[in-house]
Amino acid sequence: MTPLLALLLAVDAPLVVEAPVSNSPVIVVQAFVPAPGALDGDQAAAWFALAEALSDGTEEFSRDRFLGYAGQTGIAFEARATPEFMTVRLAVPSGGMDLAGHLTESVLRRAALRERALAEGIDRLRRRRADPWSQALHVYDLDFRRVNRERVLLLYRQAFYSSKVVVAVSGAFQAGEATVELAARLATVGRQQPFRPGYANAPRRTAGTGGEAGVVELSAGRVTPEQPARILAVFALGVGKTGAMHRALRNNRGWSYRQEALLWPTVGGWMPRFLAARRELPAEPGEIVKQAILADIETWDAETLARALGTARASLAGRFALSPIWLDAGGPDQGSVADAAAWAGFWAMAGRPGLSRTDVASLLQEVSLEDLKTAALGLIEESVARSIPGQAR
Amino acid sequence: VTAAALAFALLLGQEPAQAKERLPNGATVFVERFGRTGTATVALHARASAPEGPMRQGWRHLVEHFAARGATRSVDALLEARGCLLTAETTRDGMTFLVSGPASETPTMLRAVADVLAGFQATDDEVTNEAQIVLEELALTSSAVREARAAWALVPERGVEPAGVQESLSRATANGLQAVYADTFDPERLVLAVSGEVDVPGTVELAKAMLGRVAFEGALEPDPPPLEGLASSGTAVRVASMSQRQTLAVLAVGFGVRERLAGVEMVYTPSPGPAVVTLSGEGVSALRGWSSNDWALARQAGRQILTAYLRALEGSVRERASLRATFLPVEPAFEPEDLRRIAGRMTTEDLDAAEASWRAGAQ
Repeated sequence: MTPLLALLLAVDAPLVVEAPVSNSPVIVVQAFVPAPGALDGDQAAAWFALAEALSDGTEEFSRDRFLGYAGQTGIAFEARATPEFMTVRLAVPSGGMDLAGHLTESVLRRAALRERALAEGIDRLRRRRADPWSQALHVYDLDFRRVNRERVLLLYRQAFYSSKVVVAVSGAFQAGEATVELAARLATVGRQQPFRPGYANAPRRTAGTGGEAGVVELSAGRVTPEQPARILAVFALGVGKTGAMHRALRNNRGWSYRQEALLWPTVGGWMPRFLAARRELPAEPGEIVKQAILADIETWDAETLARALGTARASLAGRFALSPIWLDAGGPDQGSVADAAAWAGFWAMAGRPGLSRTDVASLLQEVSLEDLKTAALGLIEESVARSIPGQAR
Repeated sequence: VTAAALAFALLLGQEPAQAKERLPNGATVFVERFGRTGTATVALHARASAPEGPMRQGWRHLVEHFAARGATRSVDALLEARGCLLTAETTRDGMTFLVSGPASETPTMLRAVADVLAGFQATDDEVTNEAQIVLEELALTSSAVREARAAWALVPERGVEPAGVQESLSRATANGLQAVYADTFDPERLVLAVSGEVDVPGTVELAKAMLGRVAFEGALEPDPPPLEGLASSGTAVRVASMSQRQTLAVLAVGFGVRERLAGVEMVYTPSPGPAVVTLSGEGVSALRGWSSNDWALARQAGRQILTAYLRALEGSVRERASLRATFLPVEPAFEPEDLRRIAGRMTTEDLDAAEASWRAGAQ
């Protein structure tokens, strides 16, 4: 089928979004693939296994070929899952849009997903060790006993052939070039799959962090760009060493070494998460954290607002090492060429294509101190607490 | 580029890409214009005067916690309102403060570093409280890092684990830390490196003015480290400076093993001195059954991953500043791009030796 015919017949083409970065030495493609509905325990395990098995390569491109492109670009091929969506990222040297298109098509349409790769992927997930903080952030209690290749392939077809998929491309290229290259390649005729949106209730980690420190978490309802005060409140509450959590839990009480707020990526936008680590968690640690933060909010003044805006502007510009902004499960946004694709793709998936970093920064600029305090109180009061114990040494 | 070369470049009306200068008090300033991201990183590295011993184990780490706040204790407020951030780390090589932010805020970042160098203030109670915070920090350590710390027993001459242990941390006093602070910030061992989209001559002048005022003198009583390592665990290989081909070969093979075996983690912190690289985790035991072909595949994949890693390292403003500050005192001609060039010259013999080291460690 010619590309033009494919486009004309396409009923299920993913959305392609472009984020040109002039002078970039690489082209980065990042696909955002929502899970096909709310995943139950077995499906969630298969979903995470699928992400691991994708790293094995495709019918045309071996794992070693992907490693070779990583050597040329400094950006590794990665597939990462959250319970709600998966991201697949690859990079090629600048000028290689045709190659980028071919690789992307191959990964999204003809992933190898061999039995052996799946077994190895599950083995990696089972044996994965992480520090207590990462355990709290990323690790789910997954049962792989009923995961098999058929189940993984079914999930792959349901999710990757869906029109809900967004493919974001960043790097140095002409406007429209990526869309022309990718839309035709990824057009699929008559393969529409049902999609049931919903928040995946993958089992959250409860068994323990695997380390000495436990972690307590407060999670609040989703925030959207229409709620700039709630977004800015996340920065005032838990970003940097001037955030309320650092002041209330570390400086004032010596209660915890690490405490942070995150804007966690979900299919519909960001979900605020507030985490604090401590040895020997007391009873109801969530309530202790809540009360300490609520008391701190009462002390906020114009300087609090200025510092929150400072960290928010820097984070939105991709220039803050402790940015709370996550666009996928790979780590905080650092403003790289790859992050340019992640930003564009994430917001397109969340139903806000074209939303820019400066759009969000401008909205935050208008927030008053009173609105900030009200939003912060609301976030903490509505939040749900959970904790994962550490293990005494 | 020396001060004379900088002056010559200015005479010709050219903006130099980098400049290095040694100040009368012994401190070194290095500035490079790099990248187009509008960001900059100021790295202050205080090279350790001597390996830490068991009496004061972790005291430099405690000093780092206090120094990072600045003498005025307002460093974070100053920086974060302007979108900048200070982080700090203590290793066997020394203490490193990294301040990152918009390149236009480089003068603010230098002011923050000046505050770090403006003296030590803490009461005994505050030291006791901070020691508790350090213990909270240690509780967040992953098992891979714990095993890597134990493996430093292979390099006993570099002293004890700098993060500290409860026993020695609980002995720390304000006066004791005061002496460690003065020793740490002896200008003879200070390097300030700036990378980013900065004006090189202007930044050099600002840095010189700030660093030139530092006049601490180290006079610590010796705290000798143990002569021999006590115990090591995991699969560890002792390496020399990261800029040695043999070290990069060890890293390449290690990356390859990690790529091909589930449940394996590798730990290494870039260093210009002797160090260890560790592979740990449940999967390591499978190495004993590896065939020659397994090792060959690991070597092949590992070379690619090492190249990707080094490319990412040299392309990051933050990593460049940190690498330069740490390596300059030991390897004055060091350039971040050298690492990838050196890796490109790795020979089959280098990889054979690296593989043999990992094989021996796995037995």
